[in-house]
Amino acid sequence: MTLPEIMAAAQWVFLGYFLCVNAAYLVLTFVSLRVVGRDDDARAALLLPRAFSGLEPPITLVVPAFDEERTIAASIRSMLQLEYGSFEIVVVNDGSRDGTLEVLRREFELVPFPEATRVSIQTQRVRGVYRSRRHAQLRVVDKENGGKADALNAGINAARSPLFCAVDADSVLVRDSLQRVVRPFLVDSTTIAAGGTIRIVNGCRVSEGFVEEVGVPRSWLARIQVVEYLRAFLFGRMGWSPANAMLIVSGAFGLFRRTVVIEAGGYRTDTVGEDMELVVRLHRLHRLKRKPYRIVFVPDPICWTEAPESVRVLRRQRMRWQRGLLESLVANRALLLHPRSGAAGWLAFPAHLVFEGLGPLLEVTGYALVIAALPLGWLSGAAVAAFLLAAIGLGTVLSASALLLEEMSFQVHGSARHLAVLLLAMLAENLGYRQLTALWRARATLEWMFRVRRGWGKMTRSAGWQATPER
Amino acid sequence: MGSAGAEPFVQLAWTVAAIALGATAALALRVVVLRRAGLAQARRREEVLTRWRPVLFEGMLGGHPKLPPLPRRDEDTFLLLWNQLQDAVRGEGRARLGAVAEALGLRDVARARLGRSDALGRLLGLRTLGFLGLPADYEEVARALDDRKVYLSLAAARALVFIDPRSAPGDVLPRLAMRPEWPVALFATVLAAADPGELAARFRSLEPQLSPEQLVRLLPLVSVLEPRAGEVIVGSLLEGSGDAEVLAAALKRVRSPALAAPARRLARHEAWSVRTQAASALGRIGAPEDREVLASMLADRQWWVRYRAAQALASGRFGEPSEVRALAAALGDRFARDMVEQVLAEEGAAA
Repeated sequence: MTLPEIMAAAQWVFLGYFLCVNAAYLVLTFVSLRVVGRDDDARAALLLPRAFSGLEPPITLVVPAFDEERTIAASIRSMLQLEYGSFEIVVVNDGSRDGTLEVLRREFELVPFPEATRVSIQTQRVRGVYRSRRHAQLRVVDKENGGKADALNAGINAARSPLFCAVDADSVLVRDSLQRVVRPFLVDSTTIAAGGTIRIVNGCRVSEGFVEEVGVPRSWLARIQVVEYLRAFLFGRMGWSPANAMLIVSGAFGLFRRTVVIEAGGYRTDTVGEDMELVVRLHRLHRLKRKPYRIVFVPDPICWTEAPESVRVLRRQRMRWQRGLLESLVANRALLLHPRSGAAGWLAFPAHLVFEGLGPLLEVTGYALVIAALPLGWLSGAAVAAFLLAAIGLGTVLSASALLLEEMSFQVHGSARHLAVLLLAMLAENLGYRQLTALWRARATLEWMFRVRRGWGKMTRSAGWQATPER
Repeated sequence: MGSAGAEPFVQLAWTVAAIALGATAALALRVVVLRRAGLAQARRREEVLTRWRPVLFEGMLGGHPKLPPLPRRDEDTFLLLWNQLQDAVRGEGRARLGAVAEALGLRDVARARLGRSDALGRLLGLRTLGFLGLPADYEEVARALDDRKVYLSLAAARALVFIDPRSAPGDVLPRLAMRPEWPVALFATVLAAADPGELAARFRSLEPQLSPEQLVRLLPLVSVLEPRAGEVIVGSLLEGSGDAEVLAAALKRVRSPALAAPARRLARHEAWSVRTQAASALGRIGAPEDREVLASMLADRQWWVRYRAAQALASGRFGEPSEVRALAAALGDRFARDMVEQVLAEEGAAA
């Protein structure tokens, strides 16, 4: 086989791959369109009067915090205003090197609290527990640094409610987010986890810890991520949920049944994707033991988070996510194509492995080969242009589908200008951004394969939305 | 491209690109059309609200407003406004809004919606008929109880309770038992407005037919029954049931000192979930002589039993904090002492 023949074969492979990926995602989109079109629960539920019967299960918000002195006070203040019958907040200071604990102590009048020992999951040493003199439902666990997963485990140990909600310290919640995300637990006792749609807060007007006016970010990097998030949540998760095969509940906001997570051993501390790993493990343990369970996606927008606006931070985040994805899948490989693993093991797991885990490598190799073939004369300019246009076109179809889903459901971005910006971002995403993130993810995949260790640092937040609440 | 397979590849790639870009354009256009339609709808809705809000307010306050015509396309928006006002007012205001509805022939508008395929329309119809409260609509509304969508069943249950608070429990309770997807917490709020005697009677007659799982699910409803009726039901379960989950669920509903004896007995039950709830129950209704039982529970091997026992002891019914501390110290158990300290600190925070 000559080199040009190999190249020709490779082109078919890559085009075939692109078609397969997009066909799979289009199927998910159709499922999501059906869900949105058929089930207008969220909108209809808004027409019913809201009242707490006092019978809703209490919830503990577990908020891991590491070097969050800039945002922690505002975040906790807004969490204290959530509308729900009974909830407590456990902030876990994970050995912060900045003044996180001091800020908490000052803002909420913390005093030492003699918490009785209860270790359901082993964690790094707890240095002390504090309670707020102003808010009886607020406690702070101060522990030695062990990472986010370890902090979450310490929070689960301290939680007093049957359900716990893992919340990032910089998440901006919707006032009724707990009411919305608890719905699956109320209607189905086998529900063990639920997650909702996360939106990007950059460009929004935030006051008193809540989004008052939805906007679009100023930077194109963040604008593209708005479209990306829509796609990830509105069909990436909504599409898998009806088949009980959703493999990710976002670490920014997810509700879990506490005893189930404790039985599963809590969050794993040796992965950078602890949120996804836990959910895949819950699928594995329940499916393989034939225990009935549901992991549910609530499409309502319930949480806002800050998207990175610098390329460096975005690169770090995407590489971390990619590594987390691979670690989660490999750690739970027993789920893959297991006779009892159902849609989670036969559809979602292989799709995540091939399209998300190995996909970036294939995608980048495809781009590289096609572009390299041009100067070498193995491919005509027309062939390269056709390949690139096909790849870009398939990408824009998916983004446009996500925008349509958004338009049919929540219309969070209400103004015509916002819509125009998002449509442009949808196009811009496929002209460089998508290829760049694929490159980072491919690199993360290779580093993971060859066991390259790297310090993952932490997500750097500008918290601009908190600095300009009156904008 | 130099190879033999190049031409078909290029053709296929161009075809895929053309289809994809065409589909993108079509989807984007659809988004824009939906947005334009949505904005036009929102404007229209705003106009309707601006026109009708003052009229309904005047009617609600006892005036006799001149009623503008209600075109068919504005009916949903009007119904939404009318229902929201009904949610917000009580007593005479509700009756006056009902009079406005009568003058507008709203009953027929609402009944027509029950036959519609869209859930929002049906929901508006059910809610409106509920607020109108006409016995003649009971049967038709009751049919919606069996709808597959839970929130429509919930709306129907609420409407039935408004139309006939005596008959509604008989229709709602058995279905609540049979449909595990109905959230008891939400239905409890609805049933709290039903006739208390009838609700208790229906619950009592249903209880013997329920499986332990159904009982555990429905027992929270005891909180909306008359206290005496609830006590009878809970008491019989505490005496008669051998199922740990039922016992724990029943202990959660113990509110009467008359049930102290079974709670005391169950404080030694082998299942820790039962012991936990027994400790809580004794904290609510226990007598001074239960102090020793609770103190012994401070040394239980389960954290939750120790916690609830300490909470019970710190409730004030069993002595001052110093006495509770002394009780724990006398046990010679570090976990008991720690737990009492934690709970007393919590009590301080709550105060």
